[in-house]
Amino acid sequence: MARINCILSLLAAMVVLSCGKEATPEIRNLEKALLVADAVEADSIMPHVFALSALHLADTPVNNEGFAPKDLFPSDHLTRDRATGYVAQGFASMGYEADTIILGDELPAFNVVAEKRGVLFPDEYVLVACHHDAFYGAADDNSSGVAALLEIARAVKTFQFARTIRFVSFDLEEFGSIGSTRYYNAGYDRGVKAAVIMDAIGYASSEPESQKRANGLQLPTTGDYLMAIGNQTNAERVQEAVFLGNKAGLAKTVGIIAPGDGTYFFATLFTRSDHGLLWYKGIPALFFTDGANLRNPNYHKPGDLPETLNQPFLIQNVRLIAAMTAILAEIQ
Amino acid sequence: MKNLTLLSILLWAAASAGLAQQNCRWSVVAQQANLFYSSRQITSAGTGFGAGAGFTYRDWWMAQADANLYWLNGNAWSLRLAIGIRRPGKWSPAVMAGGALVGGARTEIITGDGARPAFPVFVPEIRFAPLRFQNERGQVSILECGAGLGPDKGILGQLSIISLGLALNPGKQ
Repeated sequence: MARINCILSLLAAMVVLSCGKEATPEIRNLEKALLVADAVEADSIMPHVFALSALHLADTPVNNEGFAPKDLFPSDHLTRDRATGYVAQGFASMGYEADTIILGDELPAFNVVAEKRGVLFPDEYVLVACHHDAFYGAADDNSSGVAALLEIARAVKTFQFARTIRFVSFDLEEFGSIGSTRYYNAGYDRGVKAAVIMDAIGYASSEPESQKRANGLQLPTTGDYLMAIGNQTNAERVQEAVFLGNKAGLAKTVGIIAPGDGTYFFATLFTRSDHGLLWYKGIPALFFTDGANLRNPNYHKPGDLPETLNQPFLIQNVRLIAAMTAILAEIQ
Repeated sequence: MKNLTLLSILLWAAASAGLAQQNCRWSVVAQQANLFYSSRQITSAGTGFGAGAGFTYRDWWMAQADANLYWLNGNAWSLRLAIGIRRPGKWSPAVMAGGALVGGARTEIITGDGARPAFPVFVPEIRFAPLRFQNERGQVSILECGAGLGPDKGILGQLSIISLGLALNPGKQ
């Protein structure tokens, strides 16, 4: 009897230890952040996607001859030159001082940068970024992200923020985040307090089983949601994004919090974009995606065209990311 | 309140253990351990090692408690407790039932209002040790496996390549 008591007691202790959910922290400036979401204009987004896709299709593929890892990253149909100009022009047309930072001698990367200066802590940065190099028509990956970047830059223009919002469109992400890696390692990661990275945010499907699973994750299998991915360093930010999406009603969102800093062997799937190096550096970064090849059958294929995107889904996602940007930058 | 409840339970367990010293053969156990747990909200996995204590009682009964640490997806851990039956003799296959408390590093899936899932998670499990051998000095078990079902459609799989036990009071069965 004593033995049974002992074992049952220990089992009961295990059950007690496993109880209790962790609620979402209260979001400061929620109402003001929602005003930024409202400032996103639905009609402004898809024209960017159509324009960028047409530019990619008309552009000359990147010449990576002589670049050491070229065998790993064949450049057929990867273009970036015209998109680089489009982003720079887009910032300039809104009144931003756009700067194209060229990094690297061998296969140089053209990163386009613009800033909305903070009024209280101008040396603290919230990085809002995407990549503009892309395969084929590049509608989802990543004209959707570039369109979001430009529209968020336009939407925040009339608001004031404590921190500086730095918009960056990275180059050469598809070759292994070369543009962002050079950018961070050149010292531009200094002062970055938070980051938002957008990569493929426009494809959705209401078909059951349209969302593939990976790494044993039991993700919802209907691919009709945005993924907000963070690590334990910024787990509260993931919670906030999910709250903004589902409870504030901006966009259907599923949050994923990677273990630890997100760089473990089994978690490398979550580092697959320009936020990866930030996680390695310990800088909190949120990654927004539709899951790319885990959902979109046109991923890195000629079929990645604007007509395949879910326009309402993309617009909702841009609104959510705009609100999240406002929260991170501490809207005034 | 949770801590107070936990403390009370552990004190009760300690008191009970004190009464449970008779007619047992105690052993210390060390093992290689692999774990995979996946639910709609939590995924935890890794490969590592564990250690614990086991006892056998008379011819058929046995129990084991152990702690395990895993790598590859951060540092996950598990605390396991099980009771079961075994075949008497040198070849002593066993089947056990109990529970595992899985904690540490994990991937979380957040839905709804953004609340994070309860963690660590308790998973009732069944374990099988088909290649378990013992003599008066200890026991060895190869390819011991376990399976369990947790909350939110959680499934648990465990595999120990090898587990070694050293009897603390050899000769007793």
